[in-house]
Amino acid sequence: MSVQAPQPPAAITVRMYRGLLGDCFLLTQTLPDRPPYRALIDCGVLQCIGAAGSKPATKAATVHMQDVATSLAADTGGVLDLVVATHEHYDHLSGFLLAFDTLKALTIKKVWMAWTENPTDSQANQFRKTTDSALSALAGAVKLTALAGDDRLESIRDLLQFYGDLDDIAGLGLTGKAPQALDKSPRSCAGALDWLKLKAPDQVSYLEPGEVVKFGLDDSLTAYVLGPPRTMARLKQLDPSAGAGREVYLTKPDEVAALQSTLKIHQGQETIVANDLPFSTRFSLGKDETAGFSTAVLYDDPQAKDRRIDAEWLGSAETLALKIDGDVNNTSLALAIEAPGGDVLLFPADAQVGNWLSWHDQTYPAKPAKPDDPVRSAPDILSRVVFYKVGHHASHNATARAQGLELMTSPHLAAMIPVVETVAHEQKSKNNPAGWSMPYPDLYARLLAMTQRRVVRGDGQLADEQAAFQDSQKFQLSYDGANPDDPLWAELRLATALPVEPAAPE
Amino acid sequence: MSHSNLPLRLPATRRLRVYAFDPQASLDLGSTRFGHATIALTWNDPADGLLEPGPVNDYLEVVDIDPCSDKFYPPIDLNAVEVLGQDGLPPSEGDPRFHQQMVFAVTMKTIKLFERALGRKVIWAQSWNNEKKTYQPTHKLRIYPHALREANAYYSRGKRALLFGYFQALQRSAGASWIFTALSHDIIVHETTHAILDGIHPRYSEPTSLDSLAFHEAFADIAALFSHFQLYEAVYDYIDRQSGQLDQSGLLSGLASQFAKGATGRASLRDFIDKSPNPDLLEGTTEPHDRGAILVAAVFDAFLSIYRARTSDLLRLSGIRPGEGRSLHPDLTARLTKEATKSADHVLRMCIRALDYMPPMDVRFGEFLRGIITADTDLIPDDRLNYRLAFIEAFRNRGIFPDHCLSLSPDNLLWDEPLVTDPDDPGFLNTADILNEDLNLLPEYRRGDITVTAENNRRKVWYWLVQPDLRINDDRDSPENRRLKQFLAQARAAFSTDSAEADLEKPHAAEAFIEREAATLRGWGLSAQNLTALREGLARADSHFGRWQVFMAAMSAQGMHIKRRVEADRAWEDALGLFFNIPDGDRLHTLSRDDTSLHVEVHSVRTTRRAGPDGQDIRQLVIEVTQRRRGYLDPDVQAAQDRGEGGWSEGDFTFRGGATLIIDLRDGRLRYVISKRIDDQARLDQQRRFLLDPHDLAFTYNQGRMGEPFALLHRH
Repeated sequence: MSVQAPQPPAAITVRMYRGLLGDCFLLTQTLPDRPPYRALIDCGVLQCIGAAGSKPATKAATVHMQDVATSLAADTGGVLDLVVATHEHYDHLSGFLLAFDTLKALTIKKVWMAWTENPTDSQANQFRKTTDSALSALAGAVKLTALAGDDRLESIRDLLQFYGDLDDIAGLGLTGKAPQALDKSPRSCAGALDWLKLKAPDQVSYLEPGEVVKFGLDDSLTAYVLGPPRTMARLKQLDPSAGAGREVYLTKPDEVAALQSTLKIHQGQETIVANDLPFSTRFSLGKDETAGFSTAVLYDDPQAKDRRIDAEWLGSAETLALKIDGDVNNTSLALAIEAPGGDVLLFPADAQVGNWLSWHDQTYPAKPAKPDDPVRSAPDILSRVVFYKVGHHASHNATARAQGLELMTSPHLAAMIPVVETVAHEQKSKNNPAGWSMPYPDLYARLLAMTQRRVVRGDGQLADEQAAFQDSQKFQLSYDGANPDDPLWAELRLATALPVEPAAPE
Repeated sequence: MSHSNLPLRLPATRRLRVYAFDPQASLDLGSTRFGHATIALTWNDPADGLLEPGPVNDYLEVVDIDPCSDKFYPPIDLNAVEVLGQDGLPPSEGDPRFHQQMVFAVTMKTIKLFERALGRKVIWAQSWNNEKKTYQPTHKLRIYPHALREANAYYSRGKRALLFGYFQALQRSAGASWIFTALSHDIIVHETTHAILDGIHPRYSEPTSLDSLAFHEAFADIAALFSHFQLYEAVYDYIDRQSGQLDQSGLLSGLASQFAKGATGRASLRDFIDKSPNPDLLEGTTEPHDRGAILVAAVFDAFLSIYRARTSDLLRLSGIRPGEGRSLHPDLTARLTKEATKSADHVLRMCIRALDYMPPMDVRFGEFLRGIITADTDLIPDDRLNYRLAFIEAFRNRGIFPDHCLSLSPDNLLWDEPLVTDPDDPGFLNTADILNEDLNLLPEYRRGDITVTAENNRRKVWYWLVQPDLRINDDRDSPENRRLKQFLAQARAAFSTDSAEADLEKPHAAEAFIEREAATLRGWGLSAQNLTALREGLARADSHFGRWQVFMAAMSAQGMHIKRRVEADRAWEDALGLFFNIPDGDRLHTLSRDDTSLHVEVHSVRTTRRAGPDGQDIRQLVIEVTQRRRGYLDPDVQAAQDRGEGGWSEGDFTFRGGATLIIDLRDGRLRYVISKRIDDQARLDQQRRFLLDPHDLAFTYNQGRMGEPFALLHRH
């Protein structure tokens, strides 16, 4: 195909909204003489955690979300054929909180979520019950005034911001939650998922790994559901190296129970029962009954304040919060979308290593309808990937190497990274003094090499990106023309074959 | 009745009951006969001090506060008749006072085990006092038996405390609803060992390489594992059932079985019998516990070889062939048990002794092997039973090799001795003057005195090491030079007694010394102007070491009739692998803290006295000296900063170099200098790569968590 050829009528465009440390992708399929088909994959931006003054770029981006929503509503004519909500994190769903008044007016015809969000799936419910009660306990801990100011508490508070409003999180997992109303803005990511379920009743699909779903105009697009995995061993694997030390990664109900009972005791709840305490009351005294005991004097010695352990249990609470963060990332709905002609677009959301590796555990479809039906394998699908939405804003542990990126061997490969490096670097904490390393340098260098620099970033330099795509035989890069200096979005247009006529029903 | 006034002889020991392994093992039918054990602590050891409720003595203070439950558990008084009359409280999970008793008894037993092997008293790691700009001794290690509600226990450096957690097990196989890590013998020994090791090598807790944190874990496991073999009944039963063999996995070779069942469902936390070791094993293992487990397995393998060598004659005499599974005569089982106990004791002592023969930071497994071989050769020159070969073979089989060693023969593994032996050679490393004059080397018996003496000696050695080599004339033994040497020793004594804080009310001993010796200094050419500068400098300096640096600058100032022997200082720099002055050629500006002074730190001075089996008596002085260098993750920034370009900036990480010196106290001879160079570019690159690789130890990025390196390692 020569560069001068007229624009092919059959195409898919991937639009990435820029300036967000968060995912917001609009997929549009066009065919001659047909209204376009539009799918929204996530809509979120990182929460502005902590003092806004120290994070001007983060704060600006949350305001920016409103512009994104307005553009989205205008350019789609208020109709989305499909919304994919990949996982319960703020940087993927917060559009539904921050720009609710704009987005609530949309018509949403269909919703896809991972099986982990299915309220009738017992495995999913068990997983969510653990996660929800942990989040709720952690939110309770953050509110303990006696411990205010502790670094670990601040770190927990930061991690909880990925789920929405603290009060709302504290109520997670509680029974008798009031049913949500369609016109009431959700306050947490769980609430956003519930709102979407309500918005498209009977049109919500909970996708299983290995499922193959036809969609788009004339069902001419194929989605291969790669993850999240059903096997717990994969679901809990967050980091590449596995070993005895890593085995206890997935959040366990007993850790959550321990935190809950600690919390109950500290909140002075009246429901404390014998089972909450390790020893019979005749062996123990309250903190105000210790007068006269020499060891209590040692403990209270003002000279040895630094040796006290009153808040030491927050260490395990912080570890728990980190684990949950990784666990939820691993429930990402990872999709490979095949266009007519065989080119594949890969959207792994924030899948971590276990999710990636699990793609190779099954065929597509996992169980063919007839034994002789052809099935696809993960390496086959990955070898045809021409577009990669880089996972988790290109962090260090969300793109598998040998079983992932290195299998994307197409010479046409291009990538989009929903990242704003200045915002990532603003996320400084005691634990990450330099902020987040996004994009992670080693991965970024490899991406540039494999795509011959065809990488579009949420904060990219337009001239560089345009130059890189000059010779692309697959993609045309364009930007939001209304804001030429700092376009709201970048778009990659991929010419596709015309769909094959669907076989006549038998 | 007159004889009622006759003094009674004090008991020899205080006997305290504990769980031999953990509460679950005491219930298992297979191990119930030896489920409980009794620890006998010396009754009247002056080093232990008074035993008070807690228990609290001069080593430990057990403080039983439970923040998660918001409770306080009153302390046990081990001198109560109800306790004394029955070898301590009977083992019980439900009475926190028994927990206090057990955690105290096992910790004390572990301390005494280390002291016996080290040949000196255990001292806890010092804590840095930022206000006073100095380290402060930790007199008592604190123990919190119920600090956390989680399947975890750790040694906290910042709190100078052992924190034990408890948790409710979901796994029913653990046999209890609450599981207390403070009731697991293995976990107590493991955590205590962390604390003891930190006291000896405070820099080992820094993650500088894959081996560094793994070594801490491995060594703590080695101590826990071999302490099993002090349980005679358990070993007897095991040998009886295995017909004399020890190489089957089980209670003895695994760690923390109840904890493991409760937390993970596995039979033991770690088991150290590996059936098929291979020389590539270490290379491919990157998780710290896994990597540590390879080291422990190597030591356990050496133990099995030694046990086999010690028992093959017994088995032959009895006509038993290994592996035929015949039941043994009880007398034979008893003899084999004795040999197993003895072998384990020897192996553990060899490992502990090696701790003094290791570099002060950035330790590698191969260096541990060299330490074991050298320490053992020093104490027991004739290796009749081939212990050392057993170690070498076990390490080789798992791919644990020291760097820069020609071969793994015992000779090659010995640390190098200094080459220059002629005292008049400028390259000679003279250690005699520090010993003769100022160190207090008398053994102390009270813990308070021990820590004070140790700190005093540390400062004197520190001053001595950094002082330039000064002489009035060339004859090393001339009266003038001897007087100068004596003067410097007096100065070190005076400066070292100063308290650290700037106390304006009363003059420092250092300042008093200068006033007293002003005439002497003027006699050596100190100008009035320089004397004023010295006084002002002393008043301004914010630490005892700062005052010493000011004094040394004055002593080697222009116009003094004292010559500085630069070649001798160079020889020391070369041997120690660090620098007292920024080296020539405009390199290594990263050594300076604020672009003016270099920091060289002596963080440990210890004397040891060890007795060998044939009456050998070894007395040594061990000194650890280190220097820090600012490390940068970007090699280009590093190069620029090394050249002193781009403006001073805080480093991304700390890179350390330095050495362990071992001096023979019998003749003042410097035996070994085990050094790691501060200008070792390859090692710096290794550390940088290690820190940059988040796949292995992601938390190394998290400097905020560095305060509790052991907590995190244990939590994951």
